[in-house]
Amino acid sequence: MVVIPALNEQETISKVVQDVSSLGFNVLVVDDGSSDLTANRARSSGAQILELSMNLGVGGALQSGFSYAVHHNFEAVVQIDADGQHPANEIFNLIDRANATDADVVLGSRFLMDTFEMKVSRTRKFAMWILKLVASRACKTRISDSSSGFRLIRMPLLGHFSKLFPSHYLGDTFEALVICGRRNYKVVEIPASFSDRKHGQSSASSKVAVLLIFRALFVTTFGLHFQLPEKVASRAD
Amino acid sequence: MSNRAIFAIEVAIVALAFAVHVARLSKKRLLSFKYTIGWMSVCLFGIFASPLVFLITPLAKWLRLTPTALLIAMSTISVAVILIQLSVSISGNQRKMETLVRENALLRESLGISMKDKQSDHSK
Repeated sequence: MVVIPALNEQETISKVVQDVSSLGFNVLVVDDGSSDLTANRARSSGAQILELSMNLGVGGALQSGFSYAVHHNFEAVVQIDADGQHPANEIFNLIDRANATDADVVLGSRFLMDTFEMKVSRTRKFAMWILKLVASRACKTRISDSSSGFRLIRMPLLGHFSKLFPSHYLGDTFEALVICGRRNYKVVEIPASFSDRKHGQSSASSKVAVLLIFRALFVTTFGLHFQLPEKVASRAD
Repeated sequence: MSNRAIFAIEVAIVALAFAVHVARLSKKRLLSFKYTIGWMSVCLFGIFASPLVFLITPLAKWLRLTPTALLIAMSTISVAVILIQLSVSISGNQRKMETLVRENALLRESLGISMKDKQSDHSK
């Protein structure tokens, strides 16, 4: 199943839902307290909808989606953004890689594509570089895009995330990755295309993002993040 | 009447006034039972401990502090403890609220109820 957390994305949500549905996937849009027509447009495009009565943040919306997936016995969930920045057909790449590597998390990385260049300040670039180092060390593999919103998560990790998942900025991406790595869940990365946002706004401004990146580093350095059960045995064992 | 006795009476009066205010808030249901009991306990402590203010000076001397510094330190620690307890309480309530919002959304989805439909029903 494909989970799309959405906040005020009425301009793009219909196309994203149609693109994903046309590939034969079940689509769940989690409307994170939008004040526009996001939920209505997603519903009329054929998606299942979870409407949160107040904004819980991306992590809170995702946790709702994970709960839905677990209740409906889905084995894995693919998360994509509602702004249309991820091409839907690349979902197959995530699934293929998950099956080939038996990974618990497969990340779609913008930075593994030669064509992608992120226009951000030097400070933010430096902070993101530190995030990459910390995430790579925790996951024991090279992580180039620790804040990617394009990823696949499968059971049993999906079940754990449905019960406990951070909702603050970078908690659902970077911190979740770090804790996965530290609890021996397998994380792998594949290249993923990424197009520029045409509508709406990004979740954090540059200055705020830098501060939040340092908060995330503080949290992971001192182990203040949420806890996951240790991975018991891999499916390959 | 000595200065210490006057100070003890002042502390007791302030604690009593505080207790009356807490009781009023509780009657108006602005304070839950749990917090009413907590604050009432603080007030009762203030009333009954007020005759013990004469202990402040020797205690301060023993701790090598001035009486004023000792009182400020005690007040700061008390306020910090109360703030931490309230932060824990607020965090718990926030978690419960987030769970409620998620479960509400899941329940509405399983019942096929749209929030927008419900809002328009109310407005009719």
